[in-house]
Amino acid sequence: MWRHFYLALFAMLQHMVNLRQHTPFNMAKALTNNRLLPFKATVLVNWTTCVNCNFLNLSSYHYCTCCGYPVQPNNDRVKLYTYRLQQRKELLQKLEMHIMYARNTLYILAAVCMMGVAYFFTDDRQNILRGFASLTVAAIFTGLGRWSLIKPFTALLISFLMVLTFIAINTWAQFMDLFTTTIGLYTLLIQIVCFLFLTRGLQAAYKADIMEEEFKI
Amino acid sequence: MQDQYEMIENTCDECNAQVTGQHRYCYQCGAYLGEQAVTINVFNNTDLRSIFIYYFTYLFICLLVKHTGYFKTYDELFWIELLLGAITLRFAWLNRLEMKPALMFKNFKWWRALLLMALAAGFSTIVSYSVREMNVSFFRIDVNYFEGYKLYYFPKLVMVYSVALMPAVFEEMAFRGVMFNYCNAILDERLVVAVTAFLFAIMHLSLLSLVWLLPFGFLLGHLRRKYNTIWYGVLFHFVFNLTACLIDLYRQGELY
Repeated sequence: MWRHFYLALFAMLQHMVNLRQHTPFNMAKALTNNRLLPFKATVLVNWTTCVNCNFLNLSSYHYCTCCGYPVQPNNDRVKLYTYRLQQRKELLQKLEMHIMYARNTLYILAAVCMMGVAYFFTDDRQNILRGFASLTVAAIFTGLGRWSLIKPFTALLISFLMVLTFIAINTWAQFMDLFTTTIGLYTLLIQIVCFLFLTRGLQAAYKADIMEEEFKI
Repeated sequence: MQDQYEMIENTCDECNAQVTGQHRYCYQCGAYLGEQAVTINVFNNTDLRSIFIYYFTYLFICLLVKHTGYFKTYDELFWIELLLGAITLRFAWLNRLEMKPALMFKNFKWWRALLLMALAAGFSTIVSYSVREMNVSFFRIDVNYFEGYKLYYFPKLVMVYSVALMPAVFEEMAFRGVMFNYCNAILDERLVVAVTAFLFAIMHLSLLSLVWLLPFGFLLGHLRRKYNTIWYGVLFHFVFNLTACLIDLYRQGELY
């Protein structure tokens, strides 16, 4: 008799478990708010999925609000979408070109500083230290140039501040020479050119970062 | 917040359709709505502009001290130190919400601080002796800090205050506090460590010192990033400069 009772109890429990698995209640939420509430079924009426990015848009929309692709593609709309995408890519390429110019400026500065190696072949012992300092700066500029391939904005921001500091130091220390001697004028010109290329590179890197993030979304 | 964001209504520049803040493209004409982001100028970014203003103000004062003849004695330099401190405090106050956690002693461990202090003393000893050797061998000069403070009452205390305490507190507050927070608003934290280290190194206006100032800046930036407090950096910086002072006093025969 007990055996029958246990079998009946086991069958009942199993039935309850099965019931629990198919319950229309949100059990996870019920544990947090101590209330059993039925699931709210959301009926998607008048929604269309974008064929390009699977974003949900209202059927009345002409273009996807996430990627700009036509919700109901026709030839003209697809052409317009492709044209706009192309325009943005071209702008990004233009910005990357400015970044490249700034990077090349850094490499040129590094190469100029590398010439400090000539100091090692002079008799004056102080020049050895100058040579050493030049090589250190050359190594920093080269490193920053290489780094601008991976993190253009950060690398160019550091370079911009460094170069501007060096320009400030040089202008301050040799203020009179800059405007009264030929070497001073050439130095001033070179400083302005470096500053312009780096500023444009920095601006471009900033914009390119924003645009690339948009493209990733 | 999300609801507020969704409720913001804009107008498409190309077709004047009403679009909500969450739309990236106009549903009507398909135009990109973030076009104004492309015209944003790097110098219009408030945080970047603050970095530039703060850094170049600091640099201008340092250049003024280094390349003019007005600041020969500590009488004048005392006021410059106070001025730099006041500028730093002003920027820290403007940035006080972000500065507050960095000034807390949360999770501050004394054993860690002692370990860092020992490391700072060792690092400073190596740098002090190497720099002196280089100065003597290459430039035939031996720089000593104590000479300039002999005029004053309690010269050793004045020297420790000027060389060790003030730079440690205000440079750390400037570079690992104010600059770190401004950069943190626009860059990844690891990159912020690099940026502040470079700025800290070049601010000292010495090409040769870059060799040891760069790793020094990276280490202090790493401490700030890891423990989210400037106090480990302040202690490290203070002990580093204090050791340099003590070595200088020892060479002058003034330590005992």
